[in-house]
Amino acid sequence: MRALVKYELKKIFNKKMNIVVIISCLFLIILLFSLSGTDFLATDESGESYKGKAAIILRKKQIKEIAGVLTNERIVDEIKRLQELKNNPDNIAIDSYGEKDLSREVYNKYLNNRLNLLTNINHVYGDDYINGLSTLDLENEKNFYESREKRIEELIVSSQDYKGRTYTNKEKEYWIEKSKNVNTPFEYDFYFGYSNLYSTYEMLIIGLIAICICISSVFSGEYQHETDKILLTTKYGKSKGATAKIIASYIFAFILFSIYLVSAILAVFLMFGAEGGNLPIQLLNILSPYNLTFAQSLIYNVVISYAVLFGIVGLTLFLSSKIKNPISTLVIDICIIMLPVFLSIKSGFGIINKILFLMPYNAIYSNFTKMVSYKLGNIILDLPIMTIVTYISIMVIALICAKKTYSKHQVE
Amino acid sequence: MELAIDRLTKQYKNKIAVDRFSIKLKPGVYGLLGANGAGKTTLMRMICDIQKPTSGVIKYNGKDIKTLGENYRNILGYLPQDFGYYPDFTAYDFLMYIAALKGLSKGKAELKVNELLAIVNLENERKQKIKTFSGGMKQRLGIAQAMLNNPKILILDEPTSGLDPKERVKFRNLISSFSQDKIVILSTHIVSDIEFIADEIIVMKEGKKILTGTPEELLQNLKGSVWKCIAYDKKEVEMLNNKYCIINIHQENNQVELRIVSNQKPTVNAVNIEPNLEDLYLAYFQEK
Repeated sequence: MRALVKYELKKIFNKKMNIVVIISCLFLIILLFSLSGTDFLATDESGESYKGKAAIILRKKQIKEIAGVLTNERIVDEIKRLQELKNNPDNIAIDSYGEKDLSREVYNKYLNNRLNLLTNINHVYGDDYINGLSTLDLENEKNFYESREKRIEELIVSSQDYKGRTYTNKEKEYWIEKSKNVNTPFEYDFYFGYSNLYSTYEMLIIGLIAICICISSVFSGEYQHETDKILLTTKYGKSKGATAKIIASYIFAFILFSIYLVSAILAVFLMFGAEGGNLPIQLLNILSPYNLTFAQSLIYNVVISYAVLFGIVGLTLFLSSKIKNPISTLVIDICIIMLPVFLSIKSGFGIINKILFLMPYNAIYSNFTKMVSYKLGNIILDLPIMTIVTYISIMVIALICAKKTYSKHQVE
Repeated sequence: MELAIDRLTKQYKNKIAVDRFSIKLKPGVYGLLGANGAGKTTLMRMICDIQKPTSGVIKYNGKDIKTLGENYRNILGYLPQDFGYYPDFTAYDFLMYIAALKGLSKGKAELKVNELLAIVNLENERKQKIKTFSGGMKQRLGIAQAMLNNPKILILDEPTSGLDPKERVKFRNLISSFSQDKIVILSTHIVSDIEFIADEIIVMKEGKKILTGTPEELLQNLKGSVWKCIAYDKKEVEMLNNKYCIINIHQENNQVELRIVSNQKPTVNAVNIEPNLEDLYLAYFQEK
């Protein structure tokens, strides 16, 4: 089997086209993921703008100044400070939209390094910028974390799509319970390595497409070049031969995707640093019901990506065993992978939307903020778990079908 | 050892490629003779279990080859008529790959590959990429791969196409030395190849087996029907061509020498000569 796998890998790597695709996609991934660092902007207290590494260093310094545990008292203080500033007419100016807002000087001095934090806290009180905080009645605001839980509960209970569909009672219970398990208080610190990695994470889909291009001819190439006539008459041509093709495809896909993934992570972390792994993902969205740190969420995302990869590789191999022309296999693959790019989905109540959430482009990465759930009998699965279950199932079914189709193939 | 083909039929929509073909094959070399589209390749593919018959069954030692699966393929060697290679593989790699698929251990495969590369005269090209090979070299490589597992059943579809006369002689000798206690089925358009090595000839026409027998038996049927005669002008040649099955026309000085298959004496000066397989082939497949 080892020898067979070796020769199957040799077939994949021997194609010049494959080498061109592999290298081009590697460069593209490194470029796209580096852009978040090279194009990063930050402004200092005096209003001077910085770009790239200098901006990252400045931003890190600014965040470090306000880092710490977000206790209830700390959050109330932050809101109080914002309200005081906003309530002082000396700090107000007319902005470019003709609206009254904090003057540029006050903004740069106070709000600039707090904006991410305050915007995030504001999600508990409203959706709009930091306006919810400006008008918040602090007399009645006893506990921020209780308000957060209440807000999540409200969202779960009141959420409905344009057709009036809502969560089932079981789903509501699931999300409320999940949300209650989130560890509080949150700690605030520099996490921009993770947030910038996540802002481009979907681009790993390029790597997935590259892998599909390289393996689309694993079975169909034999039909197309008429080598099937020899292979299928050998002792193990229909059995171990097919298994070797599958194993080689997975080894190839795993190694190449790992190279792409590590390159992507390195491209971001070399610019921003990897610190912030111990911080909660609620720093990205305070209403996230997932009890995860950034490091855990990255591991989770890596697992999801590999599950999607394995599912799509399985599907590609099945198509390759069924369709004689590798181009047709590739076209179907790309349609499946890229379809969600052209369709916007907001809620996860309708069946079509639920399926769209599971399509590769949407599924390859989770920011752990969407409360999309799937009811399988009495079990409720959230989107990340459902993604893993779906793609592993696709892989198993597709591989069984691929092997069967290849072994029963009739030469023409 | 017996390979029994029982009422084997392959139908593609409106066309019947192989029509209720039955035969029992014992060890020996079988030459499959037939015009293009006679169903030879389809028959061979069904014997190799890479094409499903519409009906009928193939049994090896009394067992359906479908149920034998790997055990059947283990004793099978097949050289297809048209097939592809991996252009960036070397001859050695290609044979080692096929050897692995045939279940040969690495050590055994290395010995067998080296032995066969020497036999098919590709020893010096073993590390060359197949994309640099000529048609004849590829054909020799194809023959080598078919023989890697020392098959008990060897199916060769047009094995001598692309080979030069010297290589063809070498191939014929190879098959002769290899075929002891084995079933070898080969199809070819080059009748002389079959004449030299086939123990038995199977003639196929429109998917049906129309004739079987040893070359001598088949030629016996033609005995007294092959004539050599002389024609003195173009008009006479034309007249004979319209009336008889002409095997060969040879112009010499002012006269034309003709080889004719006919039950009747075609001309007064016609002389009866010994028939050969080419006469047989053309007598059966020349379109009138």
